[in-house]
Amino acid sequence: MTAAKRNKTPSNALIPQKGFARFKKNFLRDRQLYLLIIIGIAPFILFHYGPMYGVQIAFRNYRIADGITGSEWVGWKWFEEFLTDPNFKRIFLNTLIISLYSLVTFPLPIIMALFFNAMRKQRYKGVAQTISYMPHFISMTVFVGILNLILSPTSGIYGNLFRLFGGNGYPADFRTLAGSFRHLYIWSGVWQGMGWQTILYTSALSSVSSELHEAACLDGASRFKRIIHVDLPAIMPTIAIMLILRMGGLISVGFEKAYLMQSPLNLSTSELISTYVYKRGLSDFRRFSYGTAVSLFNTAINITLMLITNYTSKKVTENEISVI
Amino acid sequence: MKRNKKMTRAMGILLAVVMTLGLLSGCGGNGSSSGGGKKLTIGIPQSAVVTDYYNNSFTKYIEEKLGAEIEFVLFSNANEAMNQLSLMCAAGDELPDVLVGFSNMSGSLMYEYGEDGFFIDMKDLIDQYGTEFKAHMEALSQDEYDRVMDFITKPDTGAIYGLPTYSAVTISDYMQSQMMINTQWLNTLGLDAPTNIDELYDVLVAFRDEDPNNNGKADELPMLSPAIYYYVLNAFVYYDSANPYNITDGKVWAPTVSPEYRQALSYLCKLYNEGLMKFDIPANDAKSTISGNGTTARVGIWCGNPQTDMNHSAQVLDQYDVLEPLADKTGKGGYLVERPRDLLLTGHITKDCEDTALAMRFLDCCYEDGAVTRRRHGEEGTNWVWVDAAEPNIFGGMSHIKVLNSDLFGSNNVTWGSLLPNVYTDENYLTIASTAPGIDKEIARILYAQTELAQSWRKPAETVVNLKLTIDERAERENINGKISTTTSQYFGMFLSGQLDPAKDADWNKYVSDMEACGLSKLVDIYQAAYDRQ
Repeated sequence: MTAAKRNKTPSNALIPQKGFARFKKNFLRDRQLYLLIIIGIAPFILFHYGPMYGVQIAFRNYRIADGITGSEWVGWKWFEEFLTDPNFKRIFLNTLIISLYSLVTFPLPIIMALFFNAMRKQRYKGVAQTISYMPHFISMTVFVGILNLILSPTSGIYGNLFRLFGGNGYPADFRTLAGSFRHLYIWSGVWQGMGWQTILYTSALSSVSSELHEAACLDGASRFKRIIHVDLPAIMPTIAIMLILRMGGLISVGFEKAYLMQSPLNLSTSELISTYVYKRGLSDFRRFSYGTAVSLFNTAINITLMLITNYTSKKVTENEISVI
Repeated sequence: MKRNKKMTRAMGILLAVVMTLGLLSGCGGNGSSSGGGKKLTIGIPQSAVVTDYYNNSFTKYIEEKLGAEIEFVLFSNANEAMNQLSLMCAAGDELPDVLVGFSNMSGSLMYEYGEDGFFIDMKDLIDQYGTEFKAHMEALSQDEYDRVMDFITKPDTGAIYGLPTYSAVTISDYMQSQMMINTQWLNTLGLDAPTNIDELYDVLVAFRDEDPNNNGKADELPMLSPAIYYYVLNAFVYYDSANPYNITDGKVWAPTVSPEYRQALSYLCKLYNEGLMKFDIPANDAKSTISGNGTTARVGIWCGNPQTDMNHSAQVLDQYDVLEPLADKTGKGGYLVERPRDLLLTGHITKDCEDTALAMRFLDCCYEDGAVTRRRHGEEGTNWVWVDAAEPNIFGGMSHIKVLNSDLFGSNNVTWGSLLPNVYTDENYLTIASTAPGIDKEIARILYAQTELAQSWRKPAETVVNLKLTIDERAERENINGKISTTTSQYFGMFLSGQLDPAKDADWNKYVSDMEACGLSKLVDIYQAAYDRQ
């Protein structure tokens, strides 16, 4: 419908038509464009909207033999089970805290992109950027393996440095401490992802008109002032959109990394909704329903958060920046 | 211009053809069958060490035996394979004819697969084709026979949806993992091996402070391993981590909420906080942690598997000896958890199997002694040979097999890696000769001592391990156990890391009430009911 609206031309406006008639006329005129959209929409219908039909098993006692629609309807049973689980509170809090914590690191790629942009030597800039992207391409399993090796108090760099600078014996093992899990999780994530996340901002920055910079220079703006008053406002819309999208995924903290970093001692902070669902919901097909219910619960929270951010952004920027 | 257009069109057609060909060749793959012959599709969790399943001497051996061609559907490791299987069933995919090596399959899950028609009942097939299986089962003692048959048979209908891997060997090279203490350190410091927890504490302090490995550096780790706390817990109360429920005088109770467990937690906290105990997790770290630069031992007490943890090299293993279970302050305790002999479900025939007789013949042929030897030691002639005069093996038994080159823990294409349906006996299993590089004399010595200790040490009069539960009770148990194990380990971490204090009533009560909320009493009642029925 939005596409139809946008295609409204003056010639249409001359002959006032309403509702379906107008849509039909536009549709027939732009049929080739609509045909092109199908390519983009089809995967969504196939892989995102189609499977939603199966979400109903969150309200059923799913058994494969009975099928999705044939399984017994149990209503909110699985939601109740999850919400009354004594572990629920801690797991939910763990997930929430780690999400909010990761949100704190949101500005870092922006700062880095601004730095990259302010670099004078193009060659150094290229090298620095490439190096910073690299960790992104390491698979998570290998990445956590590297982390484990580096942080080993007995044989890792960390332990060796500790002894090199006069430490006696072995330092505390961060990999297994409940208190250090969150910091380790977030900051290793920053290390791995920051360079990659700068790409979007860098490309937005490259479109800043040089005239603006020249004008600012003439007015006597320093390099730092130009970053603050020229670059930053220029990429503000990108930042806002990224923030909205980030809010949408706030509670869905990645599963694999937390799962790989878990140890018996840090479970009190490292058990997240996603890992718990995996352990309890997936390996046994009788519990598919439970897993679905928890995921649905998760998604509901995510959507709510995203809508709130979107609404706020809409209000603050007067309808300029929003994803919906 | 015209020519250009033609070129473009020609290029387009060429591209289309190439891409289509690419797609088609993708479909061919390994499935290129020789036509006419019988074919069996085997679903198996992939082992990281097997380089090739098709061009594989064990595959060839089985193919020859069956006179049929084998195709594989490779799953991820045994853990993930269970998820993949349940997703395949849910999606309605075609299943492989036979599934082997799904060793994480629980009994009640298997019944469910059977009830829903994904696994077929093999009872009649076993009668007809299961000669090797039956022969090996009949060689077991009556108790063992009953245990295995109970395990694979669905109680109400008597259907058999899976075949077992059962280890009936007296000394296993991977089952036991008990506490090992560095005797050389004890000698250096003039100490005796600890017999109770107070002595353990003193010994650990001496290990930490008095440089027992004589290298002038404070690089000693007094006690190490993620699992060692089970052994310390058992000084206070019998605690079987797989079934943490005990029976005393006909009453079932949960050790996880007992005062003894609470004392044990306090004691463990003390060890942990004073740097006497480390939780060094990654298994690949164990060797470098224990042996340091290769010849200097750095660990006083550890628990684990001397073979796999040390990566099959044993430079410092001669310093270690098995430590007997410890007693608590009052002299009570000192339990050793007896791990029941391994019994797993590893062979199933699925609904999509057309030639069930062939499938059953395949499963049965895995039970043959020859197949077991090949599975464990690889190809005859290359990896091992028959010898006429039996030679003593490192476990003290006699063996007709001489292993030439048995390091099959590294990458190879002579085995399948995963567990197959087998009944291991001393005859077909303990054939490792002393010349084999895969196992060392020192490893054998420790394994032998561990096994002897496990057999001779006193045990609780009754345990919940062999209680017979109904199908509903089993499902309930699995549900409750899932919550309880999460809660136990989370609280364990919080107690040890100092977030909570086991000595504080408020913290302890919070833990107990959370355990109750998980359904602890309900599970105790289930066990009690099962016990009373027997």
